[in-house]
Amino acid sequence: MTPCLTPDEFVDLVDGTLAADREAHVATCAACAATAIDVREALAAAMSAEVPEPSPLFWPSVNARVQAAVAESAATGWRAWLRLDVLVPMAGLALVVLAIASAIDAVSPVGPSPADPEVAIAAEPAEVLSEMEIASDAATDDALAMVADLASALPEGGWDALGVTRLPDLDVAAAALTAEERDALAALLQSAVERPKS
Amino acid sequence: MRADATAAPWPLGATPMSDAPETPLDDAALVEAAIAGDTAAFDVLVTRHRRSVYQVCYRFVNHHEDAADLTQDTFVRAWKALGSFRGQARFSTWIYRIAVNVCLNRVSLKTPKTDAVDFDLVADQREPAPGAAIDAAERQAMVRAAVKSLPPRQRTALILRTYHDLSHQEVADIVGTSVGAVKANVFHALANLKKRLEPLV
Ligand SMILES: [Zn+2]
Repeated sequence: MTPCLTPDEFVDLVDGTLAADREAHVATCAACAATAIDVREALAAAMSAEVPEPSPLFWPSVNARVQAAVAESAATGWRAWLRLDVLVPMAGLALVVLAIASAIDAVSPVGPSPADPEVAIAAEPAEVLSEMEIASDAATDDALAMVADLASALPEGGWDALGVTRLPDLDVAAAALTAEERDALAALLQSAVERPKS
Repeated sequence: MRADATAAPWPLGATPMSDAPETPLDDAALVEAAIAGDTAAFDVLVTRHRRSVYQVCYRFVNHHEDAADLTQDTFVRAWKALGSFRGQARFSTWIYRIAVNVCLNRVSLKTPKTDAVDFDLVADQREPAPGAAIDAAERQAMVRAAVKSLPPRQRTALILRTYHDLSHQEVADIVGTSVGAVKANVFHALANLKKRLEPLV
């Protein structure tokens, strides 16, 4: 007589995937036949038990609860930098840096002159910041004019109109950005620069 | 200028996913968008998988409010761990794994380790009097209670295999064990259910 079925073979049996020679054993073994019946009955009982359907209002509440918890965690996590109220002012500040860097470029041809200011800023924001700190008076004047110009691109009400309640520390922001995020910021900067002024 | 700079606008909290139901994105695309910070894309994933996640959790704890809490925990953990989802598995399999871990953590916090305890040794407070008439709803409730009383590993294997149409291999991937171990756990779960539900089946 062939050996009795192992536990996993009983599962294969009820799944219908047990090899024919092993299935043949069940027909000749009262113990295995009885166990097979028990397993089938238990499976049928298990499958008959539905999860009670919750109220239709429950499902949207799942989304709401998850969104609230995600927003709370985002306020302290790295994704804080990717939220609208942080990214927009960060882009705005980067525009300021761009303006000053461009001004520096215009008056100091011997200094660093990136061919693509947006991308350069996006890739090396900390470096551009240090350039800003050493900008000459003349360059600063020009830069301030450009900043004023760029600031007019903001909607009426400035940061408040954008729902911005706090400005991030740009050094921290720059250090926290990954290469991918810098690319995204560069794209955002470009769209901001190309936005028609009203 | 970057040639592709204008072709990839930042999501900025827009809701492109919910506004474009006529071209539903697959889970992988939604995960990509969510990783980029698009919470609207993640919301679509929640909508898509909330029912199956809730049902796994409900089977574990047999209690609506607890299952709702566990469902929320599952999705929040998924959001935080999205960066570790590399698309090597289906999102549904991945979210099941998180749900199971969340549920098992809850179970281990609430109850002593019971894997070694045989099912028929667990005190039964809901067993009906012999011969008592049991309606379908009551019978289903007893089966759910019996499933909840199974040792965690047996419960996990039975729930995923029986109620969520996952293959033994998928269940093994989710719980981090072998196919043979999953089948053995399913068998012992069913054998214990049979003993537990003797008056019913
Ligand atoms: Zn046998």
